[in-house]
Amino acid sequence: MVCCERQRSEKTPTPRETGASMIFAGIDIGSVSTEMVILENTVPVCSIIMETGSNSREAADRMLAAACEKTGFSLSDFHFIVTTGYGRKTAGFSHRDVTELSCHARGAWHLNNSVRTVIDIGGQDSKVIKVGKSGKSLDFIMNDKCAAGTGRFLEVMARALEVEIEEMGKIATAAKESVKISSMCTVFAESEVVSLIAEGHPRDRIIRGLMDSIASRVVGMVHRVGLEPPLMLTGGVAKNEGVVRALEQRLGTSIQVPEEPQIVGALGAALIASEETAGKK
Amino acid sequence: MSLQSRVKRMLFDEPDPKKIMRGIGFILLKTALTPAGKFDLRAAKRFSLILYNHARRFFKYPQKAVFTSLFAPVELVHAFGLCPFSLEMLAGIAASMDLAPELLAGTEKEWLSTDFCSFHRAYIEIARIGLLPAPVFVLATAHTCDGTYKSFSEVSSLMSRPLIFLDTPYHSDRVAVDYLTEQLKNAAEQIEKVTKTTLDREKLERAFFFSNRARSALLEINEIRQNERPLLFGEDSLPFLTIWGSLLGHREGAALFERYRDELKRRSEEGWSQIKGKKRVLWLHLKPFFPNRLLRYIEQELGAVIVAEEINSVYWDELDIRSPWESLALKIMRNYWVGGIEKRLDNIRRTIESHHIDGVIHFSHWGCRQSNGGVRLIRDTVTEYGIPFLNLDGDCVDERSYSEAQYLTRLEGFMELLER
Repeated sequence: MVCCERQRSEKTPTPRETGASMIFAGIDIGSVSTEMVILENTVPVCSIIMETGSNSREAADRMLAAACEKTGFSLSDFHFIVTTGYGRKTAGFSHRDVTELSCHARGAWHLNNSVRTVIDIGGQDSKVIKVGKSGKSLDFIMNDKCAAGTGRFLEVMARALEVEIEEMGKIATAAKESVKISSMCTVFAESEVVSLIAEGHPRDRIIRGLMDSIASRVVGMVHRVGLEPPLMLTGGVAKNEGVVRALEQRLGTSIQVPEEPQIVGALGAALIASEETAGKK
Repeated sequence: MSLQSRVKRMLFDEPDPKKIMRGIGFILLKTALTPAGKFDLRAAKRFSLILYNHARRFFKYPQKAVFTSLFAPVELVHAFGLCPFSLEMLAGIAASMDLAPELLAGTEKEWLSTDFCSFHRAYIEIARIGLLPAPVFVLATAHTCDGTYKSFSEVSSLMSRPLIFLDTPYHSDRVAVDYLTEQLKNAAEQIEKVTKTTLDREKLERAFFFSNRARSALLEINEIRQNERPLLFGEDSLPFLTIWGSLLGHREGAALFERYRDELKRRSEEGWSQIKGKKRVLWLHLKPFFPNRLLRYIEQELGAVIVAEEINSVYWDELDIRSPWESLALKIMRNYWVGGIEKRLDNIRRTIESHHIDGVIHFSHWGCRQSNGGVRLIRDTVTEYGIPFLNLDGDCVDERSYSEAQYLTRLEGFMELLER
């Protein structure tokens, strides 16, 4: 997915040529998807989301090529690039790598300065970050080393239920009741879902049960860090309204979801890139 | 086939303690021929030599070998001129040699629950498949771990050797000390029966003397490490427990800690400043023993240095030969793992203050209720000081559940908290 305000044009001079603005980028190389946000000074001008595939280094290269193609920039136009996410150390062109913990905190804080807790549910891990008044991470908790409560969990369940992952949120929201899913383990939960289908449980209630299952995992982590509203949910799973609603019910508070929650880590990385340069001036 | 694979195949296909002894002899020789300059400290070479030599002795003289649990009173074993070796440390050494996956898979075939501590499972399997010589007896205490009695009973049964067990009481009051004192006396009598010897008071006195010397040196090491400039990597001091777990009460244990103390003193006096890490970390509980780069990553890439380890705390008073059994009982009872978590928390508080700690990492070993059961209270204690706390869930022995990238992200996130 590409969202670019700055489109490529042969006639448009590059920022280096004009010297009028500084270009920064943040790239979040996750296990499932890679996102990039480009800032012109401190204003986001382009964001791109693509699948990571099997090689995170290649994903970073593909992303950079796509960004240059869309904006007309070349690598030398970027004053500073920060990479984050699982593959943050693999990009050869990065100036600095920062953990997704700091990047999500920074990105969420940029979108709303009052945010104090960020829940990020990504492809292979979920994390809860306590955010300070200046947008820095104060504390964090990450999930255990398994896929329970992550985007990968939803992917596997969508396949077992033969529904599109994008539809799951709406289906869960419309369901009047939920079926309890006991297994935390993704593999066991998958076979439990298959059994529930065979027993004749309606699909929508199973899907809602899955949302509840993810929420119960994440809520425990929120309380471990300390529930401090306002909360913001980031990462690809934030697009699933079923998960958002299940979390809100369990936490007893509303959760903010940005317009494009998947790019918050990359946005944070780009902002850190811009601050890095500002600090050196 | 690599040398490591060949060694593995030899160990599992034709387990033979004599071959292992020859292998240890080879490693000992190789270490002896390695120039001391290749080690971070000269004492580190001595450390390896002493450890390998002790292991070789253990295999060479099975008529003197004794299996002990980590906090057992090894001074008593040395007083009888026997050679103790902590089975938990043997499991750790096996993990460092990349043998744990196969050992643990073996225990699964034998119906040992995968939720049971991997240290225990690994050494039970080591005993079961015949990698160790049959010892004279097996000595265990009820602390720190409630699984110790079961596991040591299993080892005792597998090797048809007597188990001498000390039932450590939970509460540290007069009755408890008397109860344990009596048991220690009985344990000495049991050893006399098993070995058909009589405990020589002078040898016990000598064991106490060396134990006290080692204690004193370890205390000084801990004090020197309060120095503003870090003088030793935590990666090098965390393995100290392999020495004090087996060689407390032996001349070599005392001499080794004194050597470390002297070198660190010299470093301190000379203003040595080669460790670049600025953030000072306290490491709680154990570390993963299988090959990994966690500690190196923290200390050599992230810019933090472990300046204190909970496991190297000196929690006991000097042993007193005038009342030897009570003295050993008190040493056991003072252990911060005995009783409620308050002792552990007090020790953490003291170390944070004395060593000017910037952040604390706790490694929660899977299956170890003693360590991870108190994490919430430990976190609350650490945050009283306004410093970051990181809990790493993992397994010290079983590398099959280890995902390095996941750990590195947590460590980097922790470092970002330290630098905020």
